[in-house]
Amino acid sequence: MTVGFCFDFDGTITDRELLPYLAEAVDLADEIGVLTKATMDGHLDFRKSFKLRCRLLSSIPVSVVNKLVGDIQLEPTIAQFIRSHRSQCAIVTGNLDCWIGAFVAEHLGCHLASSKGLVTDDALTSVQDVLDKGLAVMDLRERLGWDQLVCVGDGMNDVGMLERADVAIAYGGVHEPCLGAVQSAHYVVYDPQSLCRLISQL
Amino acid sequence: MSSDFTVVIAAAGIGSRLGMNLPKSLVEINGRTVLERLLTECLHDVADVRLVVGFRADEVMAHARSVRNDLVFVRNPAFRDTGVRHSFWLASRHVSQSCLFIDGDMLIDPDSFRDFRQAAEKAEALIGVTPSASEDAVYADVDAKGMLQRFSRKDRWAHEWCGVAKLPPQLFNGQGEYVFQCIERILPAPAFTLRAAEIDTRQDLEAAKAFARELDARARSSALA
Repeated sequence: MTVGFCFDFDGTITDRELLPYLAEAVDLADEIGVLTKATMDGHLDFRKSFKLRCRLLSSIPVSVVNKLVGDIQLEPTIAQFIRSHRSQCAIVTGNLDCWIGAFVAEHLGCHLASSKGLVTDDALTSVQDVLDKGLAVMDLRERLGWDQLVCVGDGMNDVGMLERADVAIAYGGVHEPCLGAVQSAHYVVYDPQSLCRLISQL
Repeated sequence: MSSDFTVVIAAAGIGSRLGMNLPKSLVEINGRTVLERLLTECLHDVADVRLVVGFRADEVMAHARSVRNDLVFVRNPAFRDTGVRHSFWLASRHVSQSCLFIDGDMLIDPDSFRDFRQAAEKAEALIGVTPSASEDAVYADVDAKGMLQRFSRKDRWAHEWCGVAKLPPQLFNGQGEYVFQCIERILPAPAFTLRAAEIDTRQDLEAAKAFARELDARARSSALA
């Protein structure tokens, strides 16, 4: 039986949320922070909020974003699990491919499902596709022939993939998982070693 | 006990017979909760501990995390309509090795539990029993060789099933409303007499307080020695 593991990116396998981190670079930390919190808690529609936040951050050249992303720390135990199971793992994130694609390829080497941005002359000109995580994991499962789907996430936008998982895990490594994620989960875990021990047995 | 050993604690129930509107794992006995005592006195050296939560799950999880942050919480959203058997199944269905199952309303003598673990290491299955005491007991027929032969609700044998056992994880996949009915499928199996107190009623709680005072006094004197 082939098991596929899908992980949220921000705050699940990274030590911080990406958009608030980028916002600090353009002095929009408060504004982006409010939008991110309201979105994580399910008060704002993820797609609209994400497009708005991307527009606010589009003044940062994509090459600068890539450099900032390069400083993000991955949770070492989970990153090691992913590297050891590359073909069975996917990062499923609302972040843009042009921002994090190279980072994921270099540091994790696993599959990636993300939102898509159009870049012209090092500038983000539009967000073309905001990822629906529920549809994304179904697509990965079918395309890669996974018999069992394990999903790990913490925010409201992870609920779609958690609901479609055979084993759904709400993970609170960086911050408390939102109520929607907890209520969609079979397991709730806060410690990276415990998470990896659990999924290694699946 | 090595880190590849899985412990499952059922703490999803409402505890209606105790009637404190509080999960029994959160009941304080001489200043410390039943769960805190179990985690710190009996399971501090076990890496893989899974706690099944249901009734007032947020509070149980928050309290458990104040003791240790590395537990795996297993949600039992159907806690009102299901019992310990279902909780044990939820927590063990993805586990391949034998698990140590503990009903989370037990106050257990840590020394006795250490001996149970030692005996359990060599056994495929080991069923914890206590001398018969409770009102609503599931009696256990333990023979002269220490083998548990059968359970009964009616026949008042000298021992009762106490909610602690090492068992194969797939045991709870099949039929059986109660845990003891699932265990019946693998009988006869070795039994182990534990020193433990179950907290089901107010009367049990008073008995458990006296038991806890004895355990705490012993811990203090051995710390001084």
